[in-house]
Amino acid sequence: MDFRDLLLTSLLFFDGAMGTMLQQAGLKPGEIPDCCCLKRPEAVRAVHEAYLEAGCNILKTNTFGANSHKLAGSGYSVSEISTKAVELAKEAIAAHKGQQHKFVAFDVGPTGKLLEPLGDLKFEEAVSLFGEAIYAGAKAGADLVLIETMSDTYELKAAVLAAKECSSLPICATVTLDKNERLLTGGELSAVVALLEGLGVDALGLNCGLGPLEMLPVLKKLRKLSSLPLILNPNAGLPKFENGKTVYDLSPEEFAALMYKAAAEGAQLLGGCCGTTPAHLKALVLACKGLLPKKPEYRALTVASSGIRAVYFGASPVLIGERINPTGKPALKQALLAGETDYILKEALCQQALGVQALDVNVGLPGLDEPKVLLDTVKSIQSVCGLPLQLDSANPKAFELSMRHYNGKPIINSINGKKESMSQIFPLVKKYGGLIVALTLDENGIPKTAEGRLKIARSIVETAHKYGIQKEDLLFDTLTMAQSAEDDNARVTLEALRLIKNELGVKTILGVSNISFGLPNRELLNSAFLMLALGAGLDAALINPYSAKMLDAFKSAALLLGYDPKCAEFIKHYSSQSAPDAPKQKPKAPKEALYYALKHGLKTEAAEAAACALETEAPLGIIETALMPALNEIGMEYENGSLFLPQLLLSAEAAKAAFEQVHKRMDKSENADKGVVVLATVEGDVHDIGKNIVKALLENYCFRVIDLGKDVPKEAVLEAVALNNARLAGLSALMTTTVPSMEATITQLHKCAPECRIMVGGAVLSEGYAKKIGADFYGKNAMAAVHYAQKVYSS
Amino acid sequence: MRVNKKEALRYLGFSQLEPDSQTEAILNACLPALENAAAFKYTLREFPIAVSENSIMLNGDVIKSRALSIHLKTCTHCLLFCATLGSGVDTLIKAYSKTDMPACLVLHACAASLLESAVDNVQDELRQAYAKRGLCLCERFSPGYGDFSLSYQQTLLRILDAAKTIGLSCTEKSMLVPLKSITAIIGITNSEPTTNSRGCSSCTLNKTCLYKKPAIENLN
Repeated sequence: MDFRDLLLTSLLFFDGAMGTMLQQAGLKPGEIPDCCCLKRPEAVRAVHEAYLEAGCNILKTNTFGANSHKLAGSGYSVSEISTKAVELAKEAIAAHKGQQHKFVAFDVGPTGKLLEPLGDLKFEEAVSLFGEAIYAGAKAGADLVLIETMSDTYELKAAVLAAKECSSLPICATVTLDKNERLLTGGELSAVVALLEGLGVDALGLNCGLGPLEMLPVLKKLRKLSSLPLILNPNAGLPKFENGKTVYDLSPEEFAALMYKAAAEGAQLLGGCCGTTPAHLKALVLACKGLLPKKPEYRALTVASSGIRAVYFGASPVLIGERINPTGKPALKQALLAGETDYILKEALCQQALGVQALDVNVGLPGLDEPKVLLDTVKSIQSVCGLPLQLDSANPKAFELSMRHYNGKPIINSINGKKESMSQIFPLVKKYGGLIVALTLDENGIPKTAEGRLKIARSIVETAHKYGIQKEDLLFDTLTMAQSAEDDNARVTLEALRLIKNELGVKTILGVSNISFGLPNRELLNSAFLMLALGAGLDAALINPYSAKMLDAFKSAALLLGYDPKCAEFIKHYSSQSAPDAPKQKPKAPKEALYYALKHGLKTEAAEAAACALETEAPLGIIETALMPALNEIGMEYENGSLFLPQLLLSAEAAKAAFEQVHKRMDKSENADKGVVVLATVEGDVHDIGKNIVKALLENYCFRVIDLGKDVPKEAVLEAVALNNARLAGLSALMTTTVPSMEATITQLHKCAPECRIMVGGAVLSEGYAKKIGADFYGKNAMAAVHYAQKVYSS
Repeated sequence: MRVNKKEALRYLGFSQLEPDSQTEAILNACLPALENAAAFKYTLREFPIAVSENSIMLNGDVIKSRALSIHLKTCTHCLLFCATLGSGVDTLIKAYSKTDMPACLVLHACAASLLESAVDNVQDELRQAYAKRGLCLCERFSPGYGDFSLSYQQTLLRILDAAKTIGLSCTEKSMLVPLKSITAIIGITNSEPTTNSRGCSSCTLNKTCLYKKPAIENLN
């Protein structure tokens, strides 16, 4: 019988531990168990036979570590081990006389490397590592793929994609949680379920990490979050450290009793992980004899996720930050064109701090390679921010690339009722998962009536269904039009919203700002419209969270509509707001005040004092006569040990706030720029705190810093130096293992850009060492780097 | 799990002096976020070892390091140990590096001190457990100390299956990821352990180091 058919009707039993069994047969810690397939095939086959004898249905192949990263140096190839492993399981099944249904699950464990941005394994490399093994396993005749022990949603996604691309087998996926019910990379259970259901796996669940007792409460939560058959492959209890060894001490009977409860609670595929033996599985199969599965229920959830958390639509309304969109924002436009990701990351983090639950990301600008820029932007936002993202584009190529690399289940903004739009985007959503914003317009434009918009929505739901996409994966946007253009606009939008929600049972979203186009006091109108829309049942609003009025309106409406239990959020937010502080005693003369603010690291005061000084003095004058002398003095105090690094950085932040004021007043012809410095942490090195400190200070001293980040190949440094005509490059390396990369970068720079000076810094370096590897200067701290930069650019 | 503020301040350079009020305020403001992001995990395993003059033999792997051999010279067994604060801390620090450099620096220091004290606690518990069996534990000794090459990170992580058990792995160039992590070898001996090789007094940088502990603390 087909595995997928059986999933609809039966309890199925996975086998237990392979590693534990092979260790009992003499495998050493750290030795690669997968090699046993070829070195000692009889031992592996014996394990399979024992589990079949215990009554198990699904054998996991001995391929947990069969990827070219883990097998490097083993003398075996991924494909020969994968093929042999499937053969051994099939041989065991062929020889076994038991009556149960029997399947071979091709087992896929983690790569053993941390993916970018946390580690150095690239996403596509991970997809290929997995794909190589899965392809061989499928070819050798496996019945399904089991992706297991995953502790990072991003790696999990890579593995599932590989399984989808290299086979057509059913996919089961299980993750490992810690005692706090999170993945090792911090992901919550809800994020895992959203991702896996979005990718369309056949069954999901948990393995390893915990014992059955600890998994039971998680199983109950899983049941509520997921519509799929659930898998439970726990360890034989929690690990204990006894006499220098890790042991698992649940007896087969204890294990089976707990697993019986799990089956009754809705686990449909049951088996074991570390510490479980054929005896455990035999007891389990026996205990569950005659028990019928508690079948999964369709949960009809509308959800998007990041690698960390999921956001559900339909309970309380969801706020989505709209600020990452260059339309009408010159500073963002400039940042995008110049490739300054830091600016965009700040926008992301600031919106997050204001309490939005997802971020819209739009980078559409003429002259930009949108697919690439959207991908880079999404990746860098995901490296610092755990909010789910709404990919906002009109370019299918941009969608495809960023949907593939997105960590989680993104929101796709947007499709509409046009045939072309749906046929381009629905297949991508089917493959990568996604929650789709659907605009109620089509080839004939935007209908003037609510009924017209409903008709389009209905056709979108039907077409999505044909692609295998449920209506829960659609968020309908009934289109906010400028009220100044037609008196009926707001009314029709809201009526359509109610109608579509009621008739189709779907969720809705609106961008509200358009309503006030062409009118005065836009914030007032926007906030009023937001309240009306929330009253009409809006599920998600795209807003500017920097507007206090909008947040006030949202919080009030949420409270009045009953989404704020016991008014707790509202009270928490508004009762803590105290009256502004009384003005402090400050030095009176603006320049004195500026010095005082810089010295004490007071950001707001520094900005105020600078603004004040600008009333009487020219911007460049203030830089030369106030800012620079103050910074120099503070720098000296740091160098002679009377100030410490945190204070130096506080002053730097205050100076930055002052500079922002000064720059605002500068003409285009004026220029305080002292020169370009390219900074990078060298290839292979992932520690960048030192480089970041140097950057903060150099910027204070009016140097334009091109920050290439960490783990930077020498080619990238060369390119940046050439592109910006930089006369100075700064390289940092923390560890002895990466100094050779630094040396290689220096050699290359000296060769190709002989006019460029190179300064270096980092914990393992010294004056002598720096000379030896060819650097022009060794900076023992950040101030030394500033002095050297000044020297280079004054000569 | 709490941050040892005094240690964190020492990493920030305030080894002999009182911190300024602002640094202290930042530190206090950072702590909840850090303690929330940190998910301390560790794993370990005991092995018999054979110590020769310039190398030790462990689980079939040879580790070449004279400093390690001296450190373990009286040991017949050792514990392989590794621990991490998890990747949440890395993400938090990176986010702060974009919005608030002073807080980012302070977080670095707090995270380092949090990891050190969490590992010290585990080590104390282990020391007591081994004392009951009449055995002593040496101080932990990590790749990167003396001539114990960082390239052994890979070996230690592999033997402990650290990627699977606690999510700790290393990059091509042997950098631990997540960043706030430790691997170490802890010698087990039935005689007195070798002299403390972790304190500042035994370090080759003890004349010049900015972060040296005050003499009074350095006695232990």
